Parts: sequence; structure tokens; C-alpha cells
Amino acid sequence: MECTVNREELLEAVLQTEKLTVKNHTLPVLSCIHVEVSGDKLLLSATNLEVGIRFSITISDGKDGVVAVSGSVLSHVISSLPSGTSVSLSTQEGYLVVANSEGSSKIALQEAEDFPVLPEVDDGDSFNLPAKELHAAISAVVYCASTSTIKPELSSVFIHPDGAVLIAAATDSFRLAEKRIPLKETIEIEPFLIPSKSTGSLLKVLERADGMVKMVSNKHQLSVTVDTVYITLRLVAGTFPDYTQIIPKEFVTEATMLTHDFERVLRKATVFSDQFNQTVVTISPKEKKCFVYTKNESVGETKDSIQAALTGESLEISFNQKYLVDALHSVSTDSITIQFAGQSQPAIVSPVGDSGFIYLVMPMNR
Amino acid sequence: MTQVLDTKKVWEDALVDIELSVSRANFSTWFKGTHVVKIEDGIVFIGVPSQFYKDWLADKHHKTILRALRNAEPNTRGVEYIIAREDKKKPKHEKKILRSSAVNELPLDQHYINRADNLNPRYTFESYVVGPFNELAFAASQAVVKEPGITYNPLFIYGNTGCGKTHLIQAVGNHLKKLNNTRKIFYTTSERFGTDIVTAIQQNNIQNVKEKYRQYDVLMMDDVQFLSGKDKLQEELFHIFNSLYENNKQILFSSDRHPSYISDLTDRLRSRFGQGMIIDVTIPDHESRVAILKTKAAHHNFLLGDELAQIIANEVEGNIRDLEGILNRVICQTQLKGKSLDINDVKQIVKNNLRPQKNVSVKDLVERVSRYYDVESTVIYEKTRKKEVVKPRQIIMYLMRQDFNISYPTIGQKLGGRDHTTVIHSCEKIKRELTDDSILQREVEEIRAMLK
Repeated sequence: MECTVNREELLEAVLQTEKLTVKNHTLPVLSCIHVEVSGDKLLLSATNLEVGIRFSITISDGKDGVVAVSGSVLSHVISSLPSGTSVSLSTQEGYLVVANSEGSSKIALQEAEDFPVLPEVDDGDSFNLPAKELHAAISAVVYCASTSTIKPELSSVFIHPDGAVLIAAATDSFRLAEKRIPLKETIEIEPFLIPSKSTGSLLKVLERADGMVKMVSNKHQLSVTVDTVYITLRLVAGTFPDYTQIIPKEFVTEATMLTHDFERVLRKATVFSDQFNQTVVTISPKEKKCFVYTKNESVGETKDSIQAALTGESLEISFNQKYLVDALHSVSTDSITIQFAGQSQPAIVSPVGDSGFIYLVMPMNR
Repeated sequence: MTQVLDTKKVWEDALVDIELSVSRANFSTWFKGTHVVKIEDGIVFIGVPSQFYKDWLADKHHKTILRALRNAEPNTRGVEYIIAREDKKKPKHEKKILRSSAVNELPLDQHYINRADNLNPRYTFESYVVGPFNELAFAASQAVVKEPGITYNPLFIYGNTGCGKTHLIQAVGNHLKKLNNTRKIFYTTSERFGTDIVTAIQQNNIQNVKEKYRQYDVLMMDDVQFLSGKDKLQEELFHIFNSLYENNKQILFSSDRHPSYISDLTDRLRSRFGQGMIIDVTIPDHESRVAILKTKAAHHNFLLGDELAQIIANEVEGNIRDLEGILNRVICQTQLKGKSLDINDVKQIVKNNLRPQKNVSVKDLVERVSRYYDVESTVIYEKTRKKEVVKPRQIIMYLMRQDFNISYPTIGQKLGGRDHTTVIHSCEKIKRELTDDSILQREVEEIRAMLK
């Protein structure tokens, strides 16, 4: 194998693929980046058996060949090279030689035979989705997905269309986020569930893209091609709960406040939170008061008032403040509205003037 | 059952073989998550966790796998790979307990089946045990599946609780869905239908609900006996029925009694229920009970011996739910003890878990019947010959004789010291009248239902 390639192009591909390598897997070759020269293409791929990614770089000329080298070593070597230079890769008796005008490094090869084939979805439906919108939808909800593996459908992001609206939702059964993004035209796709762990690489790839991205999926696998990058990932089989049924429609109390104020108060409260992260929100519309109170026996306590427009009944209700902070993740508006449906009913946090996002959060038992 | 055990064994044997011929790293990566889904006509279907595994095994290890499987099971003709997760026993709620004590959970669990059609995929024809007690109903529903909307429309299935009515009508729905996915199928209970209508009336959009129900190609409504006495619901159902029926859409109903015995049902609805086909499912006979037990046990991957199945079927005469309850107990106890139970253990379980036969005292019977006919229960015992008292008294005598097998003299004695010939006369009279008086028939049927 032999080829010469621009360092910047190589670096991006190596850094991205390296993220998917797995150290200490039962299959050692998964810690490697698979490097292949075929015709005028240099292909770099890596997989963790959940997600597979392949970068393709055009080269002027080279000799065909396939090797596998440690991902961490390769990324270290390439990122330490001076920028703007060209790098030559070649094999030499069990080593990959990475050389530039300054010098050269030899990286030990590993068994490339064992490297898994990245699945192609050829029996699936193909459809187009706008990259920017899909990216925005997934990143607006993914932090709500469950980290436990007991219910795979809850550790996923649920993507489904509703006419000309793209909807993404995720929940860990304690809180739920839903993002709706209007599209230019109606899309018709089967809903699918992306494992939240795999969204990182997908988002990175979508970031590069403009306009529509072509995707192919069958029930089990989704493949996306953006420019020169191919990414394929396992979908979660199963049904996402029909969460629209649990969104409360009637509320007893409503509070509208500046996003910044709420965030600041919660950030302060973090220091005083106990093992359950309990924060008590007290709202009294009659006296026009809204308080956030947090207490930890061993640290102390804090009580802050927030300027807010309040309507409805008085209410004292506790939340896990981490969940409240999370609500602000994907809020970009100046102010937010929190709607309470009563004790032990989910509360809704939504940005004012943006009907596309809602965040449901369950209160704590008292 | 034997099939289930075999497939596991075959794959285990094959794995031992494969382990020797591939490297350790490869074996533990690619073969650890696999299992055999089924073996059909010599084709072994291997379940793998994802496409990665499917492609890799098919590409690189196909020959090894096939060879190993042939060694383990000589009849193997081929191997197919399908993506399917193994149903493992999950380590439940380990971490959750701590967190859930602090934060309430969103009530998501109730909303899993609640999709477009409400069907529970568990209810299929494959898992339905057919015996003499339900073969007619089964045949009718098969006919419905062949020509929905034409052969028997509506199909009305009635029978006691726990005899498999819901299973049957949902199986029809599931089967039709499998045949043609574009059909709009909907399963509901009369109770849920009621809620739909009531909310619609409250929110003033009854038209939407009507539209919703009229768009279905197949509509299944469970437990229609609860419509009894709800005039508005009956009216709405009547209109929906008509519009579906005119368009040859299939409708299925289930109820715990024959439409003629559902009280407070408007005649126009009653006659429409009877328009297609009315079929009853009865309590399963002994052989069917054994077959049901075996099927259910196989579902739980539990090997139920012939002898034990016979005993349970013998002892539990009630409905299928009772059978299932006892079976679950047996499975649980077996797992607990770590060895299979003997006859006495099973008998004990049956004895402990079966509801005692309900004892109806004479006083109870008299009270209920007199309440039904709206007379004072005390006058039954008196020597009055008023017409409104005589009829209930005679029915009481008839029921005591027919349903509880009490001797004629005893009946006479219990009901205020009457002669046994009077009792015989009363019983004969009611028996005679029952043959051609449909109103009396219904009354007796309803009283019997009240006594259960």
C-alpha cells in the first residue's frame, strides 16, 4: 500500500474514525482504524459494532492495499504533524510508515483480516431528510434518553414525521423532551429509533452536510451518506410509548420568567443539592412571589426569588434540579413558561414564542 | 415443548464445535450474542444482535456454522441469519428503586399497546387451542378471515368469562392485519367506546368520533353487554354499525351472553347483532383443557408432564384463566424447588388456589328471586296464592331442583312446609313453560347469572 495525502484532510478523517474505536474489546482489531487504498481513494473506517463509519479521501495516485493500525496511535501521530504539509503512507514489513518532510514514524500493523465489514442497507427504503433540521431535532432531545439498557426504546431518540413536521422525542421516564421542526414539504417515512449512544457520530456527520441527506433504512439498520462519509448504525427494534397521551392539557399554575434568571438561580442551587438533587419551587400568584429553595444538611441552604409573571393557584412542588437544568439545554429564547398540572403531575417547560419544543418533567415525591 | 429444548441443545452442541475452529477473539465477539430462533424444514434460523453480525457470520463463518450444525443435527439443510434479540431475563429495577422513590415516573407504561389498532400481538390463531367447545366459533372466525365483510357479518361471539372470546376476535384482527397491512383495523371495548362518545359529547365534536369509527375496515368490539341500558351509546353504535355494514366492512362483537339475554338493549340493535352469525364458546372439555395447559406451558418454556396436565385439567373445571393461574403457580413452585412436582404437590396447589365453590343458601336464593320480581321475600314462605308470589316461588323451586339438586320433600319443607307433590308440580310447570315462553327463558337466565 502506498499513497500521499493532504494532512488536514487526513487528520479530520482520523480523528472522527478514532472516536469509534474500542479499546479492550474481545475483538482486538476494533481498536484499529482500517486503512485501505483502492484506486484513487483512501478509505478510513472504524466501528464499535453499533456504528460504523467510513471516510473516503481522493488521492492522486497510489498502490492498492489494506492495513489496520491502532486508532489512538495513528491519531496521535497525524495530529502532531505540522499543518499544511502532505503526508505519505506506505507499508513496510509489518509496519505502516507515516512520513512527511520532517521525518517518519512506523506503526505496527494488526490483523486486518478480522476487521468487520460495514453493513450496507440494500433491502431498505431510501428517503431524504434535511440535514440541518434532523441535526437540530436530535440534539434538542437526546440528553433526555435513558442511560439504562433495560428498555432499549427509552435509551433511544424517536424520530417520526407528522405531515410536514419532523418530530424527535426522547425520555428516560422521569422527563421527556419533544422537538418539532417544520419542513418545506411533507415527508413519509416509517418512524425509527436511534440508540442515543450512536447519535454522537451521526450528529458530527450531519454537521458537515447541507440540504437533503439521503438515508437508507430497513427495520434494523440505518445508513447515511454525506459527501465522502458513509455512516451506518443499528436501529432499536421496538415501539416508543405513545407519549402524547401523557402531556397534560389543563394546568393549575403557570409561571413565565426570564430564561437567564432561572438558569442562574438553578446554577447556584446546584451547590446545595442533596443526594436526590431536590429543589423546592414555591409559587404564590396572589402575593406575586416565586421562590426556589434548596437545602443540604451538610452544606447549607439557599433561597432565591425569581421575577416572574404568575397565574393560577399557589403551589409548592419539588423537582430534581438536574432535570430542570436540562430543560434549558435547547432553549434559545429569552423567556420560558413553566406550566404545572398539580402535585405528582408532570410539569411542562416551554420556550416563549417557540411552539416547537416542550419538556415534560415529573416532580418528586414529598 | 420438545422442539424448544432441542433447538437450544443443537445450537449449544454446534457452538462447542465452532469454538474449536475459530479464534477466541472471534468466537467471543461474534458468537456470544447468538441464539437459535427456530428450526424449520432443516433450515436453522440464527438470531443475531445486528446487521454487523449478520453480514459477518454470513460472509466469514457460514461454512463453519453449517458444518457444526450438521454435526449436531444431521438433518440441517441450511442456515439463515435474522436480526432478533434474545429474550433474556432482565436484571430488573436494580438501580431504579432508589431513584423512583424520589422522582415519580411518567406513566408511559400504559401506552405501549395503545397504537392505531389497539390489538395485542400476543393473541394469534397459532396460540389458540381449538377443541369441541370452540371449534364452531373458530371455524366461523376462519371464514371471516377468508372473506371479511361477506361471509358472517357481524360475527357475534358469546360465552362465559375466560373462555377465549377476546383471544379469538383479536386473533381475527391480527391475522387480517398480517394479510394486508393497509386495512384499517380497530379493537375496542364497549367501555372505551362509551368513553369516546362521552368525551366527544362534552367537547362538542361527536362528528369526529363518528368519522373515526366509520373509516375502519374491520371493527371489533369487546364486551358489548355493558351497553345495556345506555341508550345514547346504543344509538351511536347503531348508526356506526349501519354505515359499516352497508360498505361490507367486517364487524365482530363479543359478549358474555346471547344478545337476546342482554337486558335493556334496543330491539333494533339486538336484531342487528343477530343478523350475521351468533356463536357461543363454552367451557373447555377435559381434553381441550389438557391441550391448553400444554400450549401455555410451552409458552413459558416449561415441560409439563402428561400426568400433571391430566390432574390439573381434572381438578380445575372452570375457565381458562383459572387454568392459567394454577399453571403459573406450578411453574413458580417448580422453579423454587428446583425439581419437578409430584402429584400430591399439584393437588395441594389446586386445592389452595381454587376459589371455593360459591355456596348459595336457600335464603339467598329466595331473596334474590323475590328482589328480581319485586316482592317481599317473606311472602314466599307464606301460604298465599297471589299470582305475583306464585311465579317467583315456582321459579325458586325449579332452580333449587335443577341447579342445586335438592330433593322435592326438602324443597317443600324449606319453603314453608309445602307438600312434595306441590313442588313436583311447580318444577314440571316451569320446565314446560320454559320450552316456549321466551320471556320466562330470559328471566331464568338472568336470575342464574345473578347467582353466579
